[in-house]
Amino acid sequence: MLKNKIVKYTTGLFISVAALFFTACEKEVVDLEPVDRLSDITAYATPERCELSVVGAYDAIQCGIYNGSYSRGYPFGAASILQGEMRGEYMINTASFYDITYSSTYTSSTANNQYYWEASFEAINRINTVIRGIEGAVENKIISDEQGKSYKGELLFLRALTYHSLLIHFAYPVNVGLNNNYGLPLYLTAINTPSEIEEALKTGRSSVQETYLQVIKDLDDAESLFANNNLNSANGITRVSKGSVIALKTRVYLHKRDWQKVIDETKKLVPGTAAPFASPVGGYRLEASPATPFLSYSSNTESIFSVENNSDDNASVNGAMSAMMSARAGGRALVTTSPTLYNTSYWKADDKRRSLVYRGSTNYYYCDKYQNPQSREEYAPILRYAEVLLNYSEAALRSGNSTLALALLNAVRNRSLADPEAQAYKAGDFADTKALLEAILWERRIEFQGEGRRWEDIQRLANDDLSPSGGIPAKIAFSSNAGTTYFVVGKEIDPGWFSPSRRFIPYTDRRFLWPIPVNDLIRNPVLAAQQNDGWGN
Amino acid sequence: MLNATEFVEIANEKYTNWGAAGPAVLDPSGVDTDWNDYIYKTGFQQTHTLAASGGTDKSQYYASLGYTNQEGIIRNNTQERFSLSAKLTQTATKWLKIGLNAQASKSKLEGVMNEENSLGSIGFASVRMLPNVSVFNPDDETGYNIDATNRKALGRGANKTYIDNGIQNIIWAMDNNVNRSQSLHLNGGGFGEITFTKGLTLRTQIGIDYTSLRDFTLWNPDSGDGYGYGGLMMDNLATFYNWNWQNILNFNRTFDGVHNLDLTAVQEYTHTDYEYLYADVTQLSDKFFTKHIISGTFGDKSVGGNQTYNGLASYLFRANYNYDSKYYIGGSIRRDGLSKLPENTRWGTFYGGSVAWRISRESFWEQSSVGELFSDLRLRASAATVGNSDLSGNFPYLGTYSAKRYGAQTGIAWSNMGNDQLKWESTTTYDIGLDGSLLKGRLSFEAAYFNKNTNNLVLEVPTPPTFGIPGNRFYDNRGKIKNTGFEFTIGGTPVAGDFTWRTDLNFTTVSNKVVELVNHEPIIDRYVITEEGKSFRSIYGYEFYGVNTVNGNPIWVKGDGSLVQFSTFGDSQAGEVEYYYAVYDPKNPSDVSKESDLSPTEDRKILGASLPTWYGGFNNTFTYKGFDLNLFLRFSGGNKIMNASTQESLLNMDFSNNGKIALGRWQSPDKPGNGIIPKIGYGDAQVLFNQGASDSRFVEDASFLKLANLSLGYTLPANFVSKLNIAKIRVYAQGQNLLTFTKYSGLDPETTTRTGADWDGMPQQRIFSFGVNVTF
Repeated sequence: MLKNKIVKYTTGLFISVAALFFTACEKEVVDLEPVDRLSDITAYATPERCELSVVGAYDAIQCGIYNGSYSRGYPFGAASILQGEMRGEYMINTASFYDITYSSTYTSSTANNQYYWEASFEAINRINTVIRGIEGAVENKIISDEQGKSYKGELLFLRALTYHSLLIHFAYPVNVGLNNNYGLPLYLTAINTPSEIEEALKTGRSSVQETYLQVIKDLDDAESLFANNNLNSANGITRVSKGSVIALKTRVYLHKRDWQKVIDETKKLVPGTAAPFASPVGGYRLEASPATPFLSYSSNTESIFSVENNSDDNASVNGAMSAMMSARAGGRALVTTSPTLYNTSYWKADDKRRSLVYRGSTNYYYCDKYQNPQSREEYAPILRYAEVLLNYSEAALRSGNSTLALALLNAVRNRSLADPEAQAYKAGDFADTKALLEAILWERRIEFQGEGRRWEDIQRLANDDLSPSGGIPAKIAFSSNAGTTYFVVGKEIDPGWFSPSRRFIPYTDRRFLWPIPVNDLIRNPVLAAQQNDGWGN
Repeated sequence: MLNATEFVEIANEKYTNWGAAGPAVLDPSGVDTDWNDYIYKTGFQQTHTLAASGGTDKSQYYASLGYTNQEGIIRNNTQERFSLSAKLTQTATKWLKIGLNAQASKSKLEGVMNEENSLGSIGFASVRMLPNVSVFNPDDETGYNIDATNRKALGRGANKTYIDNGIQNIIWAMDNNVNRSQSLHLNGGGFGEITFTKGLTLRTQIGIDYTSLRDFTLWNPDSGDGYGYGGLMMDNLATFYNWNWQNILNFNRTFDGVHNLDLTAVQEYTHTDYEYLYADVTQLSDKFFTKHIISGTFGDKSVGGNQTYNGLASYLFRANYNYDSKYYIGGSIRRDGLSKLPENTRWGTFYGGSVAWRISRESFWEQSSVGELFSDLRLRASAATVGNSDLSGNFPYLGTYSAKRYGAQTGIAWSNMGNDQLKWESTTTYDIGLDGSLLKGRLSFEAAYFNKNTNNLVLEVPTPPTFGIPGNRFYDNRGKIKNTGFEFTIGGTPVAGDFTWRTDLNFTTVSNKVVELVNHEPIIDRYVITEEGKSFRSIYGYEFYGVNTVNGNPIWVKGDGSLVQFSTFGDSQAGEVEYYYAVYDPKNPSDVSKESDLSPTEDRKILGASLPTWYGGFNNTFTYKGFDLNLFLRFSGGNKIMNASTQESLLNMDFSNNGKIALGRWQSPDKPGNGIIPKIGYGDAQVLFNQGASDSRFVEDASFLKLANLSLGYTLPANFVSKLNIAKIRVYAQGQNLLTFTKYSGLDPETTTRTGADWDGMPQQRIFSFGVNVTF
């Protein structure tokens, strides 16, 4: 009996001790830290993590948010290219995928324009957040001052690029003056806490001029931060370098219609006045073949900055350039080349760039710059040396130097001609400045087809003095039975091919600008009160 | 869905209204496919169980074995499940009792893909399949009707173009793609209980719950979703593991025959872990290698994985006392620590208390005439606060950086805005009720009133997208919500004897109200709003007015009561508002010259509650000799549902099929249609139907009455089965979800894919089953 009692109480005691011992369980259960993510306090604690965070800023421009997932290449992984083409007239939308953009039937809640805006602003705050982190890391001597400057140069370029592409879609060009001259809300420091959110709610839209000045300031700062060149340029084309910054400046000044500045900046990359042109910064020059920048997208002398994709991280079957434009096996063939481009007499029948147009088994011709629809790994081209030359050409012409303009135009065009000697443009081919300008603008359409540059030109030239685009061009409606008979070099464009529902829209119409999307109208009262004209809040 | 003739008419009208030629052509051979005939069928299930139990004074055991095979209502949708269960209790000594239990089940589900707004998913694709083309095409190498030039898409048949979005032939996909989910679920535990002295026990118990989930997907390379990848296989292995350990010290004794005391102290720890690892491969070398991922048979590959977890620690003390089962009083205090909250607010303390009075034990009652009628009558009241540990995500309070990729470069990026002020969300419930039984237990009832107040509600606070906060939200304690209502339960055995009828009816009313929100700011989601003074997540959107009979434009009521129409086919060259909102003047309906707007900030209003205000169930069991019949009805109502399936899918304005509802569209002033569907145009769905937002046209009454279960069983006579040394054999046939009475025009008023909305949701399955239960 006694023995039984002893056993009983010993066991009870044992269990009680065990219970106390297992109170250690409490810590194991309650005081947990995640293993799949870093606390933000430690995100810049080592040089390696600083590098990872800078890469994270590039990710923001490559693959931002789309309907709750990070999947469709907003804004620069592919979306800027496809939206840039679909707002224009030289590529045709064949199905419902881009119909809203193509038909200009967007509203403040349609997906493409909404996520373009949201992904761009997520990128801007992520960039600002990384700038803050990198500045802290320099202060805490985790990375060198020089390394910090180089990172900051990259980040300022990304911010400038993002703000500029927002300007193109959501604001008028500098010389229009409508819509209260609204530019964009400028967020120049990170928004990371509820109190910073409260503060940011006070920021309204700056003017178009102010936004341009900020973009230029970021690029000027970035250029001076790169002492010689980018320390991080091991990845060449897909990391920002001093050359990328200057090249983007030539574009931004062209949009700002500051011809002299275009010339001043371009001279840093194009010091010569006669072909062959080559850049002392970054060693850029045109490739011999116009196909090389696309077929060797990761390694060529012409791509100045491209956004990196690979088979494992890209804009997916629902957004990648090749998935959308290619008719090769696996391609969805949703966006095709238009006869308005294909048929133009500016584009010689034997031009080598016609090899970048692919005829699938159907009645269409497809842009063939992105040839891997099953892996979708092509880089998204953002800046090429060919663009710098054509920017220079246009600015030179508008400043009165038509000889240099012609030399630069021919440099780009001649490398694609079957017989440059005979086919090159001569000064006598152009009756006046306007005629030469038209040739330069046509060259841009041909050279950059499928690269999303089209809307940029329509936007900046809305009310140009020499060659105004005037607004959103009329679009061709193409049903599948249209047939390749439409595609004949030099063939007239029949007005009957145009869609009755996609007529020309003057730039004074609300549809020239995308509206501020719904979620900011609901949650950001300052911006809701500054909606683009005619769109309603 | 539209038949072939109707489809050709509607599809072409979308184009001709815009002045373009329509691509739909009726197949001269008369093809008219009802795709649902191929997709849906009657579900059938068989379930069998074998069970044995037995034991002695000191040890008891129970074991069972089950098998279920279910053929779903959708083509190629099957489920198979094996289960095992065992339980053992042993009284080891006078003072020590131990027990063990274990359950294991293994199941295999061959399913179909259904994701909101996914082109290849059954909900999206099935309603869009063109009815004027056939399912099969013997001339195609696959045998299915697949487009000759766009190999991804359903074949165009006689039409001039293929289906929009290149949607796959859904029957081909169901027959050639694989969506298999296999799970192994183990749970079990054990306990040891020591009785120190009469009424004083210490029990320690451990439980584990382990699920291994294996998801395999094959997208065949020939067509559809797999075409763009050259074929794709995904294999995902996920495990959920939860353990729970409790120590319970209990003292329960009666003093002097009337003082009943029950004291309990509990220590409890719970930990939940989730991890997964996956491999995806694409560009398959040959369709032969598609049963499993085989090394060297694919072009590109991708691997990934993750691990996360959470935990809860609780300490609880509870005391209950009653005097002679007549007067009751109780109280409890608990302290909970939750890993999902920041360190300084991680621990919360919560209290509870209760009182009750058993009137039926009072002598004055027992002696009264009503006292004879009632065998039991009790008045009770309680108040208790509990914390809610079920917050979204495992580290909502922590500012974090997650992995990101930039092509081949690996990076990290800010992924969650932290909030170190986040604290426990708690609910305080006040409850008062009257329970009783009468007619010697033949009839029992419960009536109660409850008032539940949730404080410091943890919500995702949406932020303006321009600020670039990850996910455009952060977690914060944002408000107070109140639920009040009545609960009634009545049960009884109206008929007893050879023929017995046992019935239970319960009915609950609940009124939900958001009492307070931080800064009084409403929280607006896609279809719903959380606003002070209104029901939580009320449906919020545009009020539809009707169709302009003159021009077919849709008309809405603006926030200020004025009317606005969308000038869909307006022509600016004719002085009209082009493709935008115009003022609608009922006196001059053809005038579309004055611009207006339909504003998401000013013109949306609450269109109804998304939460039911009443619900309940009615269960009836009839037995007669060996036969048993069960009839179970469920009902719910007082809430609305936004039918986004109609809005997005049945009324799509693409080149794909529509629902019959589209026939009611406006065609001309003489044929104005049903007043709901305006003049249709290709690509105009968003502006005609307000896709992505609630629109009162599609907000429907979600009330329903369902026949949830009907089963008939027969238990073989005991004298017959005992000869076989079997305790019981029961055979039965059962039907689940047989009937639904509802005004809702969608598939199921209980299906919501997002709060308040049904977007391509699948209905609860109607299943017929039969089975045998054998008990030894």
